[in-house]
Amino acid sequence: MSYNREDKMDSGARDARDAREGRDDGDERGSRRGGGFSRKKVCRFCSDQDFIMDYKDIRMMQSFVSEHGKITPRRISGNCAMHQRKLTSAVKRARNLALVGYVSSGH
Amino acid sequence: MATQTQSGLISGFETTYITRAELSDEGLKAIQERLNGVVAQYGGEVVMQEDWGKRKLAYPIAKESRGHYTYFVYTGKGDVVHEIERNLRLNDQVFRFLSVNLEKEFNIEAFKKARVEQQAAAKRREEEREARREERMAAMGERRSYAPRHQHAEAPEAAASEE
Repeated sequence: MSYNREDKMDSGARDARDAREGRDDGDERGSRRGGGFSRKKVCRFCSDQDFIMDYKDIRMMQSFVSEHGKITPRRISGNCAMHQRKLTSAVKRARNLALVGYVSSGH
Repeated sequence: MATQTQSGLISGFETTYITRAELSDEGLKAIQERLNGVVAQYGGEVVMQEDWGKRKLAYPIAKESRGHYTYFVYTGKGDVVHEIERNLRLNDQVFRFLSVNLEKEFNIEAFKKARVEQQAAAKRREEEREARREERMAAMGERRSYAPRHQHAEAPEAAASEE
C-alpha cells in the first residue's frame, strides 16, 4: 500500500476540479436557467456496492478531503446524510493515523 | 461499550499501530509476539495481521516523519483492548495507535472475505484511475503537439509520473 507522490498530487488536483465542476452544475440548477445541463449528484457509497467506507483506504480518504485537509461538504461530494456522517468519522480516524493530514495533505 | 455489558459475546477489534521506521524487523516481531500473547491470554484469537510497510506520515508525530504501520484484527472481550493499548503505550517504539471496535457479533470468516473483497475493489479502482490518468496524459500529449511551447513546460511532470 504505497503510493507515489505524483499520483497523490495528481488525484488531488483532479478531485478539486471535479468538485468545482459539480458546483457549477449546482449553480446552474439553482438559478433555474432553462436549457442548462445539470448533472444529478448521487452518493457514491449508495450507488456503488464495492465502494465501502474504510478509514484505512488512503485514496478514498484523500478523495474526500480538500488540499487544505478539509472534509468535502455534502453539497459538493453529493453524499447522503448517513454516509457523510460515517465519512466524517472515517476521515477523523485516518487523520489520527496520519494517513491524511489535519491541515494540508501535501507538504 | 456494548462489549462490556454483554460479556457473553465475542467481539472483533482492529488495532493499527505505527512504530518508528528505524525499528528493526526483530523489534517489530517482538511487539507482534507480545500482542499475540496478550490476545491469547485473554482468550481471543488473532484473525489477521497486515504489514502496510513504511509510509510517510501526513504530519510529523513524535518528531518522526516516517513510520511503519502494522494492522491487526483480533477477537476477545472488551478488556483485551485495554491490555493491548497498555502494552503499546509501554513500548516507546510505538508512537501512535488506533483501536476500533468492529462488530458485536463478529464472524471471522465473513470478515476475512469482506476484507479481501474490499482490497480487491480498492485495487480495481486504483487501476481504473491509472487508466483514466493515462488517457488524460495521452490527450494532453495530443494537445501538446499543436502547441510545442506548452510541451516544454509540462514535460518534466509527465516524465516523473510515469516512473
